[in-house]
Amino acid sequence: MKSALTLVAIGSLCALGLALLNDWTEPRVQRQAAEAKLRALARALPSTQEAVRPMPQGSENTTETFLSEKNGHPTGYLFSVQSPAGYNGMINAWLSVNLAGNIRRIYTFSHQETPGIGHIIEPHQPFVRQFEGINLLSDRLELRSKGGHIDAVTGATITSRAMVDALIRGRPTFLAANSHAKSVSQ
Amino acid sequence: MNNDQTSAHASFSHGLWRNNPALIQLLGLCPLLAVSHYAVTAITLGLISLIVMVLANALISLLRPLMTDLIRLPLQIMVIASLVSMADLLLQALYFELHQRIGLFVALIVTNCAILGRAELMARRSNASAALMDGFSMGLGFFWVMCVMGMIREGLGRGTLFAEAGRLTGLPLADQGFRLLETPLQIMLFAPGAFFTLAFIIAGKNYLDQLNESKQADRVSQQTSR
Repeated sequence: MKSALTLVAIGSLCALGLALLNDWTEPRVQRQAAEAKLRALARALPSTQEAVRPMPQGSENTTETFLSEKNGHPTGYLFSVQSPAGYNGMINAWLSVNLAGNIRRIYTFSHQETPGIGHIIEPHQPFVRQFEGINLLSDRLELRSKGGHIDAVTGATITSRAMVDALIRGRPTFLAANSHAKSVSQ
Repeated sequence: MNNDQTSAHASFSHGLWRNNPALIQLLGLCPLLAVSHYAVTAITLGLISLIVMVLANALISLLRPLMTDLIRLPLQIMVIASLVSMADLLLQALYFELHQRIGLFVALIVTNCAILGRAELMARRSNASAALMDGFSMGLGFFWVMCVMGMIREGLGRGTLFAEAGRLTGLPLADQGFRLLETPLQIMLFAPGAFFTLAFIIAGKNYLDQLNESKQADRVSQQTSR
């Protein structure tokens, strides 16, 4: 009985100590986790000197959107785009566009495309580089076989089409970010 | 006085060399093998283990009056687990990215038999200062093996030394660390490399011990022949 009480007493002391310490560390940990996430996101940008910060979300669009900045000047937006039309399921990518909507960089972070063929949508591949400079809204996002200007990769037509699909699905996010930025500046 | 000094010296070298937890007792090998692929992570884990070992030994020694046979083990594990959790929280709050790398293994320090072993064998039977000293010596023994493993494996396996140390610890160090090799031996970063390195360190220690022994034997035989 006495030993049980000892155990309970020391256990409570340990728990109290941990709870107090947790109170002190938790806000710090959360702040650093958020910072680490932003640092990781900055890797999806074309320039290493840029940083990202979260943008307030509009009610009409729920995609998390970030503003990319260089030396405090906004350079564009960063948000995720996805398409369920991949050969083997979802394709997820970070899309960075400038303020006018021209594509700066596509950074695919998850996909289940066939290994050896689907790698065309991974970062720095020529297939995704060809999108850079194309305007997300005003340019025609379509494969050459359908009359557009995007070169599909032979043998990976479905993957190529899915990437285009993901970009088209990103249009509303860009519009929301753009209209939000305008409403702030006015 | 002289006698005290030699015994303190003996108990100190006990953990550092003669009864090193990693090289002789072969305890706590899980973190030793798993985290020693980079010098920074190895040194961090070694340091945390050292701190936990010292504090656990001291606290358990102070709790001696309460420690009946019935609740001995749960009490010891509770003290060790609380200390490790505290270390885990602090590391996460102060060095977040470092914690991202080795977080899992920090929690696993609880199961490091070297720590419970010292508590069982030493701390619950001796006074606080002796227990503190013992924890320090054993912890330091584990720490230096971690450092050596980490430096050898990173040096050979990645060709660098202390890479990313600056970014992970916030100290003013170059991000790339020191460049040692142009064509690293990647296997040293994987599990086999960990075993090779540990084997070589144990072999080296045994070789040095044998050398020492034969020297002493020579000295004894010279004295007797005189």
